[in-house]
Amino acid sequence: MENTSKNRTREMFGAKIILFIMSVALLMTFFFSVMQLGIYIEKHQYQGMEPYIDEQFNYWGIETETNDEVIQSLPEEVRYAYYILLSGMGNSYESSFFLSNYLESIGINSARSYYPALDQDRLGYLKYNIYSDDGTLLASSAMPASLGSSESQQEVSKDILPADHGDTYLYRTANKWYVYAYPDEPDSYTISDLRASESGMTDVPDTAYTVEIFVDRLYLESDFYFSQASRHLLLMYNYAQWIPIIIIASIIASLICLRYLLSGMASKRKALPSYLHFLDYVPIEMLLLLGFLVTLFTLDVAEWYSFLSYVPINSATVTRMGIIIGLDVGTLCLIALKKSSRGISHYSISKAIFRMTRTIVENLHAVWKLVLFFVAVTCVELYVVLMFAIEMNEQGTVFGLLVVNAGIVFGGSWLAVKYQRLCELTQKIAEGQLAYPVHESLKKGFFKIPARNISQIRQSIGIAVEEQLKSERFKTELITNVSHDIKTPLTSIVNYTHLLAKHLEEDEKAQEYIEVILRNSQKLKKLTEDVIEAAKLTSGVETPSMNQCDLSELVRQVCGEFEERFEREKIELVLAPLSEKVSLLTDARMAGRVLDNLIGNALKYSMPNSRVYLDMNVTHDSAEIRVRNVSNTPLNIDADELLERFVRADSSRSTEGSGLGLSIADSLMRVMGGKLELSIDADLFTARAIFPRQQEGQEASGLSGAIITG
Amino acid sequence: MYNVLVCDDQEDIVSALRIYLEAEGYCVYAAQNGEQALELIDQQPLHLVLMDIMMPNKDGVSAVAELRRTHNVPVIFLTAKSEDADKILGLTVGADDYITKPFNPIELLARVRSAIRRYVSLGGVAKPVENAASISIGGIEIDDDAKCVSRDGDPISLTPTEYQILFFLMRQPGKVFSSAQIYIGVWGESALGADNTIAVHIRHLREKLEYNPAEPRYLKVVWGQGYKFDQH
Repeated sequence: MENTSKNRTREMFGAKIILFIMSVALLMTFFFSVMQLGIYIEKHQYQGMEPYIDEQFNYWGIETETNDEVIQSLPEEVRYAYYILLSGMGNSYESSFFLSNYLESIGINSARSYYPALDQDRLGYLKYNIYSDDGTLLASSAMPASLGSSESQQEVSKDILPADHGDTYLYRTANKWYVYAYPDEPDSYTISDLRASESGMTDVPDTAYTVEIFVDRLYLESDFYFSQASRHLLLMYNYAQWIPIIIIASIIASLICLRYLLSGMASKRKALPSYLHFLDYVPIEMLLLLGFLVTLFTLDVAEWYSFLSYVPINSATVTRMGIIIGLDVGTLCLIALKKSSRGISHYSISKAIFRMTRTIVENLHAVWKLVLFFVAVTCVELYVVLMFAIEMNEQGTVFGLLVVNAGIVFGGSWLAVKYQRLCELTQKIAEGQLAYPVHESLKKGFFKIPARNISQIRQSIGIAVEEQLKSERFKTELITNVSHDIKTPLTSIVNYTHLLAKHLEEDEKAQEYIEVILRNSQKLKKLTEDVIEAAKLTSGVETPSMNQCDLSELVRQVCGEFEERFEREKIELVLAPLSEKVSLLTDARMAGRVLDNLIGNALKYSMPNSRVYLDMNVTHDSAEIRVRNVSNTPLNIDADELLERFVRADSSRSTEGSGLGLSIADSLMRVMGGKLELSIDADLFTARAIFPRQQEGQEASGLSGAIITG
Repeated sequence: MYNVLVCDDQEDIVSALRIYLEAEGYCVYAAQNGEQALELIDQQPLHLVLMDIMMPNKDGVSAVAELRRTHNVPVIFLTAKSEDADKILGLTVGADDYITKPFNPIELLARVRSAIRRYVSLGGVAKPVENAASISIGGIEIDDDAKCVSRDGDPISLTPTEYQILFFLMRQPGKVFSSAQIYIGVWGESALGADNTIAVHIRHLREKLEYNPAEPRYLKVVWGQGYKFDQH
């Protein structure tokens, strides 16, 4: 048995691993596709309605924060260089430093943020010359294609350091591209300052200089990375219409995988598995974090080794993707490793925080809830307004907004106070305090109508309750009176029967008949008394007076009372050994009545020469007395039905008894806060009186209040 | 010749009682309600009053309350009201005994006899204890020297065990003893858990001692706690 379940677990574990891997793969497909779609849409937007493809290189234009015109007006060579940079090929920051700086200097500010990277070798396809406006060559890369040494690189970089430029001019002649950049303010950080401080070149004019850039085409065409990127983009363009389909398909497929991955786990309603390993106790957030870090690290390593470098994505995108995939892989790890979904929610930091917050919010005064709400709203408002207002220099608007919000908070607080009072009122009424007064402030204003309605409902409830009590009392009174009226003539019957018995002392037959009359009169008396008691118990007129008593003693006492009757009826009462002392807070007289009724019932309806078993089962918070007997007639009746008044197991009603005994016992148990349970198993009848049991020392009223009766 | 006043609005009951009481040699006076009863009491020297509670004009409880201001005569309530609260009220108001309808005439006569005897011969108070061995509570007298028990002067025969239990309880009237305590007090050893010997003995004792064992006057059960000897 155990072995089978172990095997199954192992099988399931294997299936889970496969599903897990499939899910991860599908999710990765999904995210890559989304990314491609994003690139596609960006290019589409950037190029206008028609995707732009460079005819010569099959290469697309790429996103930029500079306006289109600038890019479009760039010479092809510069643009290619720029695209390559933005494609994120390679990872050498230093080698492309000069280019990004240059691009920045002509207003393409995004260049630097893309962490452009070019292999040192690939620097070959970018060439530049920088001239001052009088035509002197200031700096040049027209040296060997490879910037072999770091020395020369540094030199170049310094020379090319961006000016804090204001206007940039671009124009071209027949075979050259010119960029003119003027420093905005002569006093500020300028290229000449830098040059002066860093390279000692002091005689560079501030006015303008020319940057000449061109690309070595031959070099570019033979570049592996460039061709890879071109191929990828071409592929993406040709199959662009499939991207959304791939996205949807991968989502659906991964959801199906996840569904099967989760199907083996316990549902929320099921109990937690009987054993949990340490992972089940680790909060979900910890696992998520772990998964995320691991994924990030993996991606980072992959990027480091140019693992993904042929794919034209830049490193920022890779990082973003890493985050997304990391989150998902983490989640999946968790789901796969945790034993049950309930376990996940059981050990979760965020859930605990959420629960705590909810408790706090629920118990907050309405005013504070309102204030919190408005603070949140104000924050959002401020954020939105500040974004525009500061741009438009409208601090007045912000101030006005704050004033309005403060006004709303104060006005709302007043309403919230009233609302809180209304809540209190309904709470008290719900708790049964019908007389709780309506606060004066509720009688007028916003909550006038609900407050008035509540008052009316309260009145109606009060009237209904009173009516109910009155009718119950009336019923009890009626029954009591009728019983008294029955007893009075009964007295005469009994008395005169006795007298008759004296008169007819000689007549044996008469004596026999008189005996029957007397016996039945006695039965009638008992019946009327039972009816009164039953009526009183159900109408709530009779309330128990709780006292500490010993249940064992009670059982002994009641059983003692029955001893002879059992002997007479030839039925044996088997009393299980009782505990030393079972102290219980209850109405001892009522409890005695219950026992009396149960034992009396067993005595009356037991099979002759059978045994009645009585035992007691005491637990920490309850005490149970069980009476079992074998019925002398078939019990073709429902156990619950026996608790109804005047219902008896024998429909002929030939035996003694009013049919009220069990009903009274049930009512008594309920009045005392316990319960009576009956069960029938063929001819075996079991009655269980269950008393609730408080901890000792809770009530120490002792013997003084005990009601003493026969 | 003792005078007994029967006060009940039911003619039938009054005449039945008259038959019983006159057969026992009592002189019976009848009243229909509380007012008549109070008038009669002032006119006649009475030895006992049997009083119904629910009557027109003046009910039994207020009649007894009024009567008690001037008279010491024993009163037995004879009523259909059988609840504990009614009994307590009746006894508080000043009645000496309480019998519920329908009653057994033999029991009634015994109680009447007992009440009159106590009123006339015993002066309504327990005799001062002459020796430690003799105890008298209500109508029950126990003499430990002679090992005999009597109720209203009539001797009662008890088994030695019953006698010992009774004597044990009567030494401290009003105090509640659990069966275990009684067991130890009588036999000097502790009882077994499921032993209801004491309860059975008490029941026997009650049948011998009480006029109506179902409504004991002397030997009372305190449910869930034990037993005690008490009057009322």
